[in-house]
Amino acid sequence: MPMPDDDDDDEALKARRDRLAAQLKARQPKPRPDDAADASGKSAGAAWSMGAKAGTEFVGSVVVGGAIGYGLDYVLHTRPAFTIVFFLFGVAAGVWGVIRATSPKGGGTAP
Amino acid sequence: MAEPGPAINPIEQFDLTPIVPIKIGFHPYDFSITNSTLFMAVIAALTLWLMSMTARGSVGVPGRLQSLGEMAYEFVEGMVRSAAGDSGMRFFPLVFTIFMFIVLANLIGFFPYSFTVTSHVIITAAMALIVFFTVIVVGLKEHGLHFFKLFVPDGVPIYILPLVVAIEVFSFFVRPVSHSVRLFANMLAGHITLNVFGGFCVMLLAATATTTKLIAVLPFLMTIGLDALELLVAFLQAYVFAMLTCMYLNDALHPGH
Repeated sequence: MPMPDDDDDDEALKARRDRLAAQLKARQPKPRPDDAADASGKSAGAAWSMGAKAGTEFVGSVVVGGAIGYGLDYVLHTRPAFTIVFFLFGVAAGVWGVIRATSPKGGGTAP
Repeated sequence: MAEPGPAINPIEQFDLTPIVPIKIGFHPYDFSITNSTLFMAVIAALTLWLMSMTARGSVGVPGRLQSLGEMAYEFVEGMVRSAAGDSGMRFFPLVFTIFMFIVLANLIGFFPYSFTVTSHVIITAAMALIVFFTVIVVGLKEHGLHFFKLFVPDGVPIYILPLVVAIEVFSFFVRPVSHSVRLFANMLAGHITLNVFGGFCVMLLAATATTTKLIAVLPFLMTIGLDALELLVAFLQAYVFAMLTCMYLNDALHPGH
């Protein structure tokens, strides 16, 4: 009588599969509750690189902006004009960069 | 009571000295093999040796060298996957090469009479520009004109958009500058500081009075502390450089913020 045996086997197999699935699920790492946990759970290295990035990009923006302005003034003989404009532009870009780097990602949009 | 001590020049350690002078061209360009070239070759050889030792006798229970190589691999792999996603693994060879080069260059710089390659801005700028152009080329190839979405953030009112786009383009071009200067300045400043405090030791020991000689302990302790700090900086700057490389490459792969 192969049929009932097969059925029994199927039943048993299904039960074992379900049990195994449940056990696997229990052992799997829990999905992260939210983005904040994700950010804090990341390694300190990621935080270091964020800090280094924000700091140097701010300084870099200001310096490069000032340098571009100074260069334009040097070429066009308009001494203070472009230096002032591009310096302020550099400051704006630096602040914008820091705000963007430090503000939490999300609002539902994909990164 | 200024006593003439030995002259300490903290910048001298960064001097390039030709080992094999090579001049090419009518207006002779200097292609000399310098101490910098030598140490870069040493770094490349060390990396090659480490990785070939790792790959050669892959056994189930790895030895020390194999462990080191595997740890380095997995460390960079985790970095690439977390910052640039799984598709970023295409750039794993680039990131791994950069990371190993910088970390070994920084660590070799600790040995007396060695030369720190990464304390020269030309080296770090070359690496930053490789990353910069890789981002542009890959971004344009993968996404075509959609790559320029990188400069147009979502949800910005139309009347302020031109300014925001200008700022985004500007900060895109600032990146290679900050990317290279960060590493170079950290290494340069660290080595100068160490040299200055070491120089204090030497100057104080050259003094005749015993009490003055005893004060040399203070800068010596400072040097020990700074050495520990520099070890952290050496590793951290390599990590930061590689991590930012991943972040920038991520922009090329997924430009739509």
